[in-house]
Amino acid sequence: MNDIRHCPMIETENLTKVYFNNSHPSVQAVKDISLKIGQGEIVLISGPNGSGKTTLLSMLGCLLNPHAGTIRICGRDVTALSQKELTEFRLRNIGFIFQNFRLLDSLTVMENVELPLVLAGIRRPVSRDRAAAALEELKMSHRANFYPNVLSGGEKQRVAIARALVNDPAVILADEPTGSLDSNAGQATVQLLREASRKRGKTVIIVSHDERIRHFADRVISMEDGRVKKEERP
Amino acid sequence: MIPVARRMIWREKARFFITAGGLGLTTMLMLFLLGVYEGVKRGSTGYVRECRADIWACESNSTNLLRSSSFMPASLGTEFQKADGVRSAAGILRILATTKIKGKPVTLFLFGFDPREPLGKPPRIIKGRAEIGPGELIVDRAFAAKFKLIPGDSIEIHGRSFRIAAVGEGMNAVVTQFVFTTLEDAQKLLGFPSVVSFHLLSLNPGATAETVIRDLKKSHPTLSFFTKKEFIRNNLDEMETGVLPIFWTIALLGGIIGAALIALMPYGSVLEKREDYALLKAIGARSRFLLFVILKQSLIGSVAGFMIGLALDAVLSPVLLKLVPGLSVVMTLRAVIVVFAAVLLIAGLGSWAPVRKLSRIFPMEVFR
Ligand SMILES: Nc1ncnc2c1ncn2[C@@H]1O[C@H](COP(=O)(O)OP(=O)(O)O)[C@@H](O)[C@H]1O
Ligand SMILES: [Mg+2]
Repeated sequence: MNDIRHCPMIETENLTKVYFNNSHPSVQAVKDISLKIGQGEIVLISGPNGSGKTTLLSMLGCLLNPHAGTIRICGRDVTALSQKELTEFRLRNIGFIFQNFRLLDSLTVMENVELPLVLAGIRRPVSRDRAAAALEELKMSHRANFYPNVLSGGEKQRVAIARALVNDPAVILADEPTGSLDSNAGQATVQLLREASRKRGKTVIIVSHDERIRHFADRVISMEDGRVKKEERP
Repeated sequence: MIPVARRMIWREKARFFITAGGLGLTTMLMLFLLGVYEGVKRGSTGYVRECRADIWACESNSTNLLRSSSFMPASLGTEFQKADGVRSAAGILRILATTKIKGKPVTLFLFGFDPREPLGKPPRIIKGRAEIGPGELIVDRAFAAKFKLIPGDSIEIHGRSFRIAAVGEGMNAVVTQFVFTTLEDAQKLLGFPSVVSFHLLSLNPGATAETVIRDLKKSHPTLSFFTKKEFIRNNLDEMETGVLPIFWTIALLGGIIGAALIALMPYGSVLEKREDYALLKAIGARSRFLLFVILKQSLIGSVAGFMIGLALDAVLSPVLLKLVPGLSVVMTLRAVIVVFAAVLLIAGLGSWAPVRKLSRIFPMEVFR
């Protein structure tokens, strides 16, 4: 029921987010954004710092409630879901990748990748096999039993991609995935993300102001001051 | 399953060992208190339990040995002996005598008993014989150790010199110990030759204490009679009203300290690993899962602390017993279970603050 695989798109209508400070409206971070993103599409959202990219991505990732407007993921209005339902929805349908990797230090690489499966109630040995396969695909098998603190930035991000993919979600959201990496590692990482997603037909939204990864995207949406300024196909 | 809680604990070993160690000390304190309590309880009823009296006769308002004054004619013994079902009767006299031992002022809890009677003798003699003569004393082992006395030493009581003839054990009264002398000497010290405090009765085979007491109450309406079991209970009640509140206060303080300690570990984890918890929330961890992660950390810390406490108690109790001669510590399975239950309760209470903190972490924080 929560599974939206084979569904075509993400759709937002007049999406608006206002951050309140002491209950006075202070920042209108996202203003009236209406978007349509097709299944399997790889979209880059670019724009200067503070233009509202992360806020938009948080709303698409069901982590933040919009102030106004609707979000449909596979025809399902997620703004109508309860917190509990949203948690479940994220677990099944959305994979996250962050600028700071957000791997758990206390777990091994293998366990970090296994984590979403465990949360979904999948037990060993199935969870272990699937995590191993994901690591294999991201060329990280040799580090499976290491703790994240001994990995390089690029390796950490590959582990994070494996974690985002392992539950087979329909949508992958990445916030500045190259932000903590040097240029080469950044390019290689996004390349891997692109290949793995393409193969599975995942919809990918990457937020980044990194101009060098434009060509990996099917479409580039530029934001400025909370609004979409232009859209182009590189 | 991935043991997330265990891994999080292990990542912060120092914090874990400080918490478990602190809780271990708390556990040890609680075990030790209960042990002392049980020791005092058994010690202060030891004489009543072992002196072979089936019925205790006291002056009407007296109920126990420790803190009530009871006086009655010694001659009542002959009357009691004639009653149906009574095999023998013997009087004992309890007096408080102030004296000095090796320069230190001491109040003696002095019992006079008739060495020719089978009833009323101090039951466990470890040095010398219970059949003492005039001018002789039997002291408790703890008492002897406290004042460094050995058989043959003398104590002056009300101007008369008494010689320690025997040493016994199990003659405790909460924090002091009973000292035994002959009934005649005790009566002389009191100044009334034909007075006793209690009459101890033993029964013929087949007679029941309840029936005998019913008859005795009819013939002696101004006296109180208790079965052995009732008299033990009375003495326990008397003791407990004195010391129980102190025990509870210390135990409660221990519990609060324990809860604070155990809260520290998951609370520290939630504070420092805030982004880890935010990540778990973001990628779809249910509240129940996160609650278990916290509770498990508390539980692991508590159980480890309990084990450490148990080990500390086993190692340190004998040392303390050597250092404090008057002390008797009795470890019971019940006490261990009670303390374990308390530790689990502490774990639960200690989880409250971190769980509250956890509920204020938003999944959105992963983007920071
Ligand atoms: N939690 C918040 N509270 C208040 N203001 C915020 C919060 N998060 C972001 N903002 C503000 O909203 C605007 C958009 O931020 P953000 O979405 O992070 O932009 P970007 O990711 O493009 O840098 C900025 O002005 C930022 O200061
Ligand atoms: Mg941002």
